[in-house]
Amino acid sequence: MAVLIDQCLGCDACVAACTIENQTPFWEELWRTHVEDVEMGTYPDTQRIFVPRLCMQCENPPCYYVCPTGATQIVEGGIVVVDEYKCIGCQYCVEACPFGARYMYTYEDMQKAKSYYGENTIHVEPHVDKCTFCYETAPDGTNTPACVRSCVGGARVFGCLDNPDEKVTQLFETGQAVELNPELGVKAKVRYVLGKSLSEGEVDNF
Amino acid sequence: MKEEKPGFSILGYSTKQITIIVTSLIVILAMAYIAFYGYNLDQIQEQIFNIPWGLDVVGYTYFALMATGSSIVNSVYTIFGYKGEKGEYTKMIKYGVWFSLATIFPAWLMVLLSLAKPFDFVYILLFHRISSRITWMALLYTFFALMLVIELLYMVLSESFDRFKQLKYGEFAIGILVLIATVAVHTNLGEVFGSLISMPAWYGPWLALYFILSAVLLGAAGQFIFLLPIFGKNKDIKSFMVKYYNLLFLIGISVYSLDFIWIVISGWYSRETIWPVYYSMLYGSGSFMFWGIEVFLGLIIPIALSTYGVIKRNLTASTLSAVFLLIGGFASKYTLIILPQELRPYVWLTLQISSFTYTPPIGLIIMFAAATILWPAVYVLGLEILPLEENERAKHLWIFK
Repeated sequence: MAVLIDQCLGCDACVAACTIENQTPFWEELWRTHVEDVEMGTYPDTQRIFVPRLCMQCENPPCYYVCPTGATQIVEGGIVVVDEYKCIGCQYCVEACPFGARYMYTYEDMQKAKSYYGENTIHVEPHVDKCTFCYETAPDGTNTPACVRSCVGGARVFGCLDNPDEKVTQLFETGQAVELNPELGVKAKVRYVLGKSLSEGEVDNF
Repeated sequence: MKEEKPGFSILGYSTKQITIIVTSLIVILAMAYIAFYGYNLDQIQEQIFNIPWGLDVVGYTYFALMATGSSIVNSVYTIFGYKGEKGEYTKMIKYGVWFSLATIFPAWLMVLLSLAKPFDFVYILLFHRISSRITWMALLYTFFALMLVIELLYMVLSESFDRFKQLKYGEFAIGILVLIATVAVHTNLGEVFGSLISMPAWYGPWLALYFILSAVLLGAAGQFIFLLPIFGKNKDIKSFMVKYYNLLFLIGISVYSLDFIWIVISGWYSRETIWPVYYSMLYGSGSFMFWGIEVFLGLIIPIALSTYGVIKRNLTASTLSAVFLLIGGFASKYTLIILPQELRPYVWLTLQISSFTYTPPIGLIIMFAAATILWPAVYVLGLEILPLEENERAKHLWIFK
């Protein structure tokens, strides 16, 4: 996925769509994705940008290697998912994720979820939850995450990186979409197009 | 002279022994139940003001280090052959090994209850992923406990069967295996924290050494307090204990302090990510815990008390020193585990440091208190059923009194 920062309006439609599709515990202020409202610079040279955040779907994911039971798995397309039946809730992966993209879905959350989402909730065991690019929950044939389907500004570009014709592949290959913090060595598959409002060099200065 | 009345006995156990055994069992079961109650209470509370690893993991680390540290202290006898000036250590060693083993119980209780699904812990063995440090922790800790059981069995059986005593290097070989297991547990525990690139304040190889040094202090202090009621009336052993343990405390505190100062100074060079943690510890919200409890109560006062204790052979000063070392040791584990999570850096477009104050939830406090009470109950149970005295032979099933 490539995130075009210039095109994010900060409307939070992606957050709402993800919350409903994946029944995330919003009452705890825990999300699979959210949009950060960032103010940068000092008056009068100030800027305001919206930065969507989600699991970076790392190619070399620290959360995968620390999981003692193999509950964290890498499935087709390199998507990192959690098998909630295998997850014992040690939260080692929550500690290991440098992006803070994981949280615990507790017994309490499961009970509350029933009052918000109805009796047939998709989470049936306490487990660590995270963005899965809507793996196996996206409508048939689309394979597209809810946040991408709902984005009014077209800020999230999603596709198969093995297909050279996809827009996301071109953004990656031309270097327009950059990996944040490459020094971590996790090889994130969610990259950011910093655009006009923010060149790569400026990132360090705000 | 007063004639003792013949009392009620089962399998040779006196009424007093049976009362103590039954009481210990009741306390163990009650505390396990209360710990589960605390766990359930913790599960139903909201997690907005929570962190992944709270008081439960602190408690686990604390007891685990005490158990392994006690083993390192035992290795002075089993591997390095120091038996005291009049062979006092020979009378104490089995109690020391049992103390290590008994201390594993609260550690295991805490770590099991730190899981969201404690009964699914077997998945670690069934579906293990060998790249995970927690998988190795489970394996190594089980190996460590097994080695301790073998060591204790060997010592108990040696009293009954001469062929065990005749194995010249038997005790030494088992002692070596226990020490290897201990060092492996510490090294791996250090890497449980130290391998996380997401937590710069933990990241690196230094935690293994820190844990070993800290474990020796905790193990020695714990042993002193738990062995004192048994040998407090024996003048020779009491004098030996005061001298031996106080020297261990003083050497341990010196090396531990040097190591910790080095860690804090090296943290200064990572100004953006690590230093905020140490800054908070030195000057911020963690400063009372650090300066007040960890340094003053847990290091400075024990130095003064142990110095006085070893010079004057003073039992009260030595006991207080051990108690303060245990309190300070807990504070240091609390600071080490909680503060980096309160001030956790997240990398995104920019570096963001979370600012958060953790207060242990009531469920976890109940759980920790129950594990702490369960600990002496397990120890006392062993004292009553295991033949731990020098030259004491087992009468039942080769290993029981």
